[in-house]
Amino acid sequence: MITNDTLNSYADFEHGLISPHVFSSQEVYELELERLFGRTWLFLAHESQIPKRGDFFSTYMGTDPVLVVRQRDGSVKALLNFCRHRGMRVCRADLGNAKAFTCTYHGWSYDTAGKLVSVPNREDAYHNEIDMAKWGLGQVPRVETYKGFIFGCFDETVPSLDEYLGDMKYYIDFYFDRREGGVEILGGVTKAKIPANWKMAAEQFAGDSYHAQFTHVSNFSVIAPPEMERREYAEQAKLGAERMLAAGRQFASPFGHGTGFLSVPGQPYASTGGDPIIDEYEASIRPEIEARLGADRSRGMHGLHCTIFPNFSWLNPARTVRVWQPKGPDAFEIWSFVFVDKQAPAEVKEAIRWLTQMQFGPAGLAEQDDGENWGLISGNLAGRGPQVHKIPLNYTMGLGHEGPDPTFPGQISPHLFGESAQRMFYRRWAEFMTSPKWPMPDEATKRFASGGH
Amino acid sequence: MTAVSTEQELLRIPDSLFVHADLRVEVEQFLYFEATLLDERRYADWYLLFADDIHYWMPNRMNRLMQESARENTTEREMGLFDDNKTSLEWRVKQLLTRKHWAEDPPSRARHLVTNIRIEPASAENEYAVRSNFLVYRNRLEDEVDIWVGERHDVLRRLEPRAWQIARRTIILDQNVVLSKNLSIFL
Repeated sequence: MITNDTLNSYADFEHGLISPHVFSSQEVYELELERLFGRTWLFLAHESQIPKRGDFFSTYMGTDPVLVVRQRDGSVKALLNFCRHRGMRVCRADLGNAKAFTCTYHGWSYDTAGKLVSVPNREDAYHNEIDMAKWGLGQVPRVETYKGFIFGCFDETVPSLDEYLGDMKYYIDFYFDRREGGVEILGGVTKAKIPANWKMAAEQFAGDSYHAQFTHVSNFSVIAPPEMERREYAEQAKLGAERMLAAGRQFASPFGHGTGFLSVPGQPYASTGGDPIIDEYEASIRPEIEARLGADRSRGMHGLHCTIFPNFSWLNPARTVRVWQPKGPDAFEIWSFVFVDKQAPAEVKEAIRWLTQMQFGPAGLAEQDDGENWGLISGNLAGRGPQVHKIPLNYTMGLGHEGPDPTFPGQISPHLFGESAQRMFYRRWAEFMTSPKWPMPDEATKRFASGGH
Repeated sequence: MTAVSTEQELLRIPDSLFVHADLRVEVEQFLYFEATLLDERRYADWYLLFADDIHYWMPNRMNRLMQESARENTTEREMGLFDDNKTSLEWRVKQLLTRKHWAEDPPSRARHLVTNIRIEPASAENEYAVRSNFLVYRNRLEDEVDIWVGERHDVLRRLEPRAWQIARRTIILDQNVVLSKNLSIFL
């Protein structure tokens, strides 16, 4: 059984050294399922996916299959998709609307709240001895929502979602609460299986702006606004990039969340590829965002990437949210969705949907190249080669340069490129992996997170 | 038909599937020609096979009960895997030619098998609704293997004898979770 000392040795966040074992160890993975996915807030669905009573969406919390169901009273429950009799899936559809969930094995039937309501042969074969009230579907004990995003947690002692998100709410609101009514998820979810460890993606979306200029170089060089010559666009982009790197920031939360953004007052928002429909829309709503969120977030902040610890991420301007569903130490599925402002005109929503899908998804011009990175890191570790496993990975970028910022809350690194969010991610990972009680960020972490050392 | 008949019925092959033999040869050879261009990574040439008004679309497939099977695929305004016009197909081809598209550099070894070709006249005089099945095998680097199987629904346009373009392509991939780490080649 792997010891706490070994687990802590895998995540030397103080010096920015992470062991490859975190990406390849079966033991680490199985402990994560219990100690991490068993105790953190995990994304279930967005309110807009299950608007009506009986609407359901089938997903996972870690590797446990869960049905997210809109109740009669408008609340949301999350039920384990696991019949109490023999463990068969009580619902095999991806999504839909149901009045009940009936298991196709022996016919046990549950209502949308998970209560066992019907058992064939209850009187004769069961002699009326089965106590229906005791055999309902497993319930996820905590389900809470922030700005339409529904999360669940298996651990009853978890702090509220609001407390868990903490300073991250300031940044989340920039993406998801810019306009009255917030956002909605457009139709559909795209799922793809990547032969790699889920944390590679989670940490990348938490703090890795650095990779885009190399990994995605082929994407940037072919996407160009239709009305500009590609060369002119590339030159402008380079000048803009240098200015933007210096004006970018990384944020890391003591609860493990991370995000990176550009802070360039007056810089107009620009969509990847310069779609005029999207750009004009963004310019037109800027005053509304300023009234709602204040000048710092409306004029000065262009959010880029984010991870809500442990495995829920999104990208902006690409407007994709995604869950990294673990399927083993060397496999995960990307479940990705597109979000848009509810109030956006239909043509803007469609333009966003089209552009996001063009960039992301397994055929996305950007995402194709991420799969290559993650798959080959995993491939390098698949043989359990002892030599490579002895080499700690370098997570030192910007180490010691984190601190408070006059404008933005929390721990901020003063450059678009940095690895403070990744170091915090593994700090929290280690806290969950080694702590028998729910690990509230301790004083040392909080000090670290507010910029002290 | 939604029920099995108890009386003996004769189900005929639709007449529309019987097109002239010369036409059949051209369509089949066109699809095999296209497959050759892809297998040989002649992407710039492959791009020339697409009409200016091309819509190249691959929906997502969902698991639905049979009673909802009409909603098995996402619709054109929902999420899908490909939703391309001529411009975006050009982006994809250019990306493959940059020599910096790491997902395909080193390039994959791919083989496109096209079969079950069914040809029917479409509404315009020089257009045909052509369905075909595909199996695309991809082998990459040391031992990465992907196999994609599905069907294409095409509208093919005959501009001149032996000169065709694809005016519309819908690709129905027989997967729900896409089981490959990316879709970096064309199916």
